[in-house]
Amino acid sequence: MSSKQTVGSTDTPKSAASKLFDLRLLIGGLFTFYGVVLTIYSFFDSPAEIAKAANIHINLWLGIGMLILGLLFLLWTRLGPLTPPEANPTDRSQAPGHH
Amino acid sequence: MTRLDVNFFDYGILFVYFALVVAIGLLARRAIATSEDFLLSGRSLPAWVTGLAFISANLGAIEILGMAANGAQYGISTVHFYWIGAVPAMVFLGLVMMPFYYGSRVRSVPEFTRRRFNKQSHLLNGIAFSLSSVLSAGVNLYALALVIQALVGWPKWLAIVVAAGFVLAYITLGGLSGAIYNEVLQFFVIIAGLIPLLIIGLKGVGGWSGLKEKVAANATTPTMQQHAFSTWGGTGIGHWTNPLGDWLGIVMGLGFALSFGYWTTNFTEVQRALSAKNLSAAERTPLIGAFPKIFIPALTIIPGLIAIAVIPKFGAEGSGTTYNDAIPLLMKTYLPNGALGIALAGLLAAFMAGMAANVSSFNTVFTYDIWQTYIKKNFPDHYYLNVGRLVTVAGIVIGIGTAFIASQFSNIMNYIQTLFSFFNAPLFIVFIIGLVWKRTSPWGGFYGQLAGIISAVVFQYFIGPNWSYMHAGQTMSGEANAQMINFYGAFSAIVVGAIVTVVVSLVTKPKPTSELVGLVYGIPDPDAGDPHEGHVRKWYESPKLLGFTALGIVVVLSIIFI
Repeated sequence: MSSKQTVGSTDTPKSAASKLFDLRLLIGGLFTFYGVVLTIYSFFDSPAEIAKAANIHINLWLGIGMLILGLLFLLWTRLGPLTPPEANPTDRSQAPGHH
Repeated sequence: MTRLDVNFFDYGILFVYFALVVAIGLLARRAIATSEDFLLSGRSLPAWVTGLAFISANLGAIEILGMAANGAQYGISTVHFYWIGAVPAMVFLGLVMMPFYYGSRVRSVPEFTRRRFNKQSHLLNGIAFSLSSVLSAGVNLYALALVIQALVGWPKWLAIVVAAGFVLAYITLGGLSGAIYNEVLQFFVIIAGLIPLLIIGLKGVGGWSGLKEKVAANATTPTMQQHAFSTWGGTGIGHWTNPLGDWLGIVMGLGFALSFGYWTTNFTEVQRALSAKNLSAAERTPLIGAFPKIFIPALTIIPGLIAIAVIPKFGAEGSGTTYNDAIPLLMKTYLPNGALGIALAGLLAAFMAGMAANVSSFNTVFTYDIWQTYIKKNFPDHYYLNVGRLVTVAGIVIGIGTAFIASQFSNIMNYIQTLFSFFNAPLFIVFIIGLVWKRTSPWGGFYGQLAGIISAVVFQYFIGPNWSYMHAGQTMSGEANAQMINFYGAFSAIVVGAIVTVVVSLVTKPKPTSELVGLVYGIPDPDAGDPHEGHVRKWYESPKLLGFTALGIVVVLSIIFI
């Protein structure tokens, strides 16, 4: 690697990437919330609205589907928590400029 | 397009979504301490996240509405843009190119160009990419404003400023992580929004067979009456009638030149893989993305066909509709409030994600490849982190400006966008020759790229339109086939680019082998370490297994829908 990046990276503060939050929790939360709200809302769908959607009670089915997906994400988060950043020296030593 | 009947509940769904979009940016901010944290997510993300972001960065709303439009205009031949025109290139990127990109620790595609070739190639690539990204950001923004105006009645300027404000918030705060996390979330929401359209629409027209009958009865163009349900019908060389031209153009132009050019050299895509936490995850990024890519046509092309079946004279002149309206019109026709809010959230999120993907790759190339390489070298990392943030803001401001220009001169924007699309294929062929042939010289790479670009431009504007074979019915009186000219033009760029690269390389000085370590096949970098070290690989994490499974599914589906 050319020398010009070397200087930049020797002064580099430590990466904070390990502080990044778990996205699964957020997807799980949003879809669970949407699923519950949509399912409740679907109880108030008028027959005209169901007829509009080719006689499929779409809000109910979509609500249930989103709820299941949301719960699956939450379950995954629970079963496989984020592993703490591996203390893998090769990862860091490969930062640009160390060749 | 007509106004949607959005009610308080739909607005509630939108409000929650947009609040979360900003929250992601705020939460991701804590994870940024270095310029690489901001511009490459600190190379820390798991493969499922980068893989879904990889496909989501390409699943902007322009793509979704455009592919539904193609479905309505060309029928299921449109799957060529997915199956032959994307999946093989994605597999190639993961299995063949990624070890070089990720293994060499470059931070961008232009940086790879600089190390393998020279500064001239680097500048050509870096500047072209920067310009085309901010331009695309603006075009995305303008398209979003058009749709919001049509669907919910906001004035265009308000939609542009509000959407740009949200994108600014989440990528200036959260950097690439903010962009990628939002892309993954958007992926699930847009899928949740489109699946109801597909299910209701198919039931409404009486299933697959009902769809075929109704399309045959209602199609207004001979193309759709003949070829709506055949992917390879009418692609014979010499007497093609398929809307995408002959099989040579589809296979070599779309499937090889355009597709490999886009997926393997476009930094917006490659950046998602570079943000992965190790080489294995980087290799799997495009492979994981390939699986949704195989099935997304069901959510775009079939709604296009449903629109032909249920909306009278859809897309025909004088009907008051254009092909691009397919998905919004079906949303209006079929979706009750609630499901409508989800679909609208997905569509708006897809517009913003398209723009965010452009800006979050533009800032990386500008900061590292232009600012750090040519203007202010050797500053502490913190300086480049700040530059990255400022460039992000500047990119969005330029995007807003571009959006306003696009609203005045949309034809000019189309021309410029087409122009930039000529840059990918030549770059790809130069990369490939440079990867396998260590004799490929820096100037060979530069002139090969340049010659390829010129060749594509010449074919697009001078040869293609004046060649009777490129016109419907193979006579000049027929309408010129824009897709076919595009495919053949890209293929000509590959051929000319390859010849010039090889010829110039033979008469100019190659790089010494010591500078090619890790950049050329057969010259591994001894210092790179084993990227798989400390990583226990499970059987389903094998890149080869994933890649060949994806290709196998494509082959089976292609035979079913031949």
